[in-house]
Amino acid sequence: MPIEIENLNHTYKEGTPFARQALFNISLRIDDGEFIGLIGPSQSGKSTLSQYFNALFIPKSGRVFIDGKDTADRKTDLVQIRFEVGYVFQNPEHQLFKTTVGEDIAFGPTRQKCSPEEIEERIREAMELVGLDYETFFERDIFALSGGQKKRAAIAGVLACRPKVLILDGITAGLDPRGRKEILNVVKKLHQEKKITVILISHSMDDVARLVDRIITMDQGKIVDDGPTRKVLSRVDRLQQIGLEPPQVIEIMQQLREKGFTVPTGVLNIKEAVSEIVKMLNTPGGEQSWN
Amino acid sequence: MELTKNLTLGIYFPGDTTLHCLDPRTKIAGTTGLITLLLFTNNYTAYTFFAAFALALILAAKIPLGFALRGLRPMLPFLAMMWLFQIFFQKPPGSEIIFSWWKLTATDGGLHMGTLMSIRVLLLFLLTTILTLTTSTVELTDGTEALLRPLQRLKVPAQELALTMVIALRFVPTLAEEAEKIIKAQTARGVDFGRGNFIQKIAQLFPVLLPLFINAFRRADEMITAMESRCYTGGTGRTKMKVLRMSKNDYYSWAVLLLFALMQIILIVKIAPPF
Ligand SMILES: Nc1ncnc2c1ncn2[C@@H]1O[C@H](COP(=O)(O)OP(=O)(O)OP(=O)(O)O)[C@@H](O)[C@H]1O
Ligand SMILES: [Mg+2]
Repeated sequence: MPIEIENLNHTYKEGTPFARQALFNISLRIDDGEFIGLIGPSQSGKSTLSQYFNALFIPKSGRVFIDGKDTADRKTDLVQIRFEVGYVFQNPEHQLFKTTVGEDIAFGPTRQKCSPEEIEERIREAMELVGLDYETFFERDIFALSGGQKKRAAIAGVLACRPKVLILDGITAGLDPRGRKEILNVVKKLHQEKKITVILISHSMDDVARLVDRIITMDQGKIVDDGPTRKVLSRVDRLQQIGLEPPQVIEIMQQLREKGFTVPTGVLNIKEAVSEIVKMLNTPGGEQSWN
Repeated sequence: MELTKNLTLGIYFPGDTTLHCLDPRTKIAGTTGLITLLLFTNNYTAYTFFAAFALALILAAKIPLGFALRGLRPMLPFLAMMWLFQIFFQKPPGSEIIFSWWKLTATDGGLHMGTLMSIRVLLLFLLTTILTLTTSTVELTDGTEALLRPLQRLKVPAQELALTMVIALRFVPTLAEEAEKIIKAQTARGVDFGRGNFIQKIAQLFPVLLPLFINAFRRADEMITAMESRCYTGGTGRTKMKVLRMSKNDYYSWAVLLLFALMQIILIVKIAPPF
């Protein structure tokens, strides 16, 4: 289900003295099966924009089409859209509203009117995917979870709805490095095996750049850059202008270039960087600049 | 879905008008006095003057009028219900039947009572809102505490009481925000809020209230920890960063308030209620 956004504006607390415009004239299109990183500094409007992707916000200015259906149209079945576009909130505390983990994960499938057996199966599957042991955590009180476990439970609650599009806001925040890697691997697997469209929202390039195919950067409510990962990453000046650190490998390549070495800056990981440097050293011109 | 948009109670609207800068004791005692007066007001003329006075306060505080009045909106359905109730079930002696419908009869006395009561509730809410819009939390606490201090001799814990009252007031917007978040989380997983008839809409609220209460308790718990970790041990022996002082403007305000009150009392006594 493609998501199309045209000339979207958003103002919080519109019509009050506390009004604040958070999005300015945003247009973009997300196609089936894409793997996207939505990246920008704090307050840039990422969470606001992404809440239009599953019709949590309905546009007052501009238009949003999900699967070709206008979300502002009263005839559009928004409930169906929200099941198919899963949304993991930035703060899991805002997402978990039931008392136990099992109850919370069961909420979505119950609303989808699944049979008890199917609900049970989905809970097991979702918990296994996010790495929460079913026996241990099913009856665990939500408040008795650590921050990282809450995050996992929140993701499981969304996965249990079997969405076709998955939006993960600030997914890596609050997880330890290993937990981060595990969750990101799960997301990658879901994308590859189930062909789910994934939108990862983050402050930092380092987590996201390695995974996604396309990066959209935002600053102060506007889209700054949108394109294939390599291209966006290689425009280091644009990233730095909005205060985003490019991944460290790219910074190294950038510095090498400034020192006069002819290496490309559009690399995604250390392996690629190494092979590019080796290639540069093996070409006659490159060696000269080494000396 | 933006619950907090129509919320004005418990929100501070920063400014530097005379009204903002008055001693909080003046504002709190003044508001209390006005509300007491409001409870005795029972004719349209007096209410007209009251509304004009409230309007003048809003303008003087440079609060956008639309914003101040917006806060009244969420109360309208309840007021409408109470109004209808009064029309059909209040029958003050000597009132005449305007019309009957099914088994219900509406009287003109009931109509007047309903209308006067609605105006009273609206004005009461508006006056409280003006107080909280122009007075910061710290000022509210300090002012309430100072006003309650004479009761300390009767073993009333003035400081704690003031703090509790102010926290309760300031929690209103926080709770509304919290409710908004819970509604959003449930919407994201397939609850369709705001659709269906009135009864269905009310029923949708129950699954929101439970987590809301649990969160409120947790929040209170966290606040206690925060206060204790900053060595709060209750009211005794606390000193103030800002000592309250009456200024010239406070005395002028009292003069204006007393004049207004006098006028209202005359209006209340001289003009008979419309039923
Ligand atoms: N409920 C709200 N009421 C009023 N203003 C809000 C609200 N939520 C967000 N904003 C404002 O909208 C702007 C964009 O916020 P948003 O949450 O979309 O940013 P973000 O990019 O997700 O930031 P972060 O990376 O910190 O999560 C900010 O200026 C913020 O202060
Ligand atoms: Mg955010």
